[in-house]
Amino acid sequence: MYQYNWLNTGSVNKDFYFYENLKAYVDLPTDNYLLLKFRGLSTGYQRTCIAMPSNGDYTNPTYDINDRYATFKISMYNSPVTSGGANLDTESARKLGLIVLSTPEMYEVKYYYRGDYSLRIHSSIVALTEIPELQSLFNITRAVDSSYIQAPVSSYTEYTDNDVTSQDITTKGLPAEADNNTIVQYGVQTWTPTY
Amino acid sequence: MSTQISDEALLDFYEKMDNATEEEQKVIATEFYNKYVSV
Repeated sequence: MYQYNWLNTGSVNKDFYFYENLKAYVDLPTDNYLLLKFRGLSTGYQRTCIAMPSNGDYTNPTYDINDRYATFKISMYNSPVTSGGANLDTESARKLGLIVLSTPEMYEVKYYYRGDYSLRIHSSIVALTEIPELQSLFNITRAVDSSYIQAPVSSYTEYTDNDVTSQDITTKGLPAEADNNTIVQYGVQTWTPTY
Repeated sequence: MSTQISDEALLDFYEKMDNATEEEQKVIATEFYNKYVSV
């Protein structure tokens, strides 16, 4: 269980480190990327990103891994755009390890490694391996308002289908438009991402 | 650590990534990371 509380808005990114006992389950192959998938448990908001290599080299990535833990570094934004209007919720940013995670939300985090430089998650991808023994919860709260995510309201809508489910992820690092159910009971994502 | 990357640098990075092959993207990402993110 990880916890983070936003104290600032917008376009300043904050580094965050996940420490997981990777080596108990797998020896990371040479030049593989660590990949994280975030799934919001109440809103269904889903994104993947490449964990930032500890050597800062995306051509030959290495990570800090010892017998006790591996370090998965990401850097988060609390807003999908900068104060100047530039989009932060992009494929290129996620390939770098910069990710927009809407708040407040409790995320399920899944861990993968892969030999290619891609964000796509699908059972057919040979280069992608899930590490099923590793799963985390990441609770993100905020002490500041967000212009882009409405506060939860007290209401109830009865749905015939549960649309807050895990989806396959495209090369862009988010679900396909048809699968991206953002209007759900407890949170509303008010921006339209680049599909 | 936190940083604030300029819009100009971000947009230039996106444009380069959008027009690159996977191998070229790795190089572009490395350069951008070391210039703007890891500082």
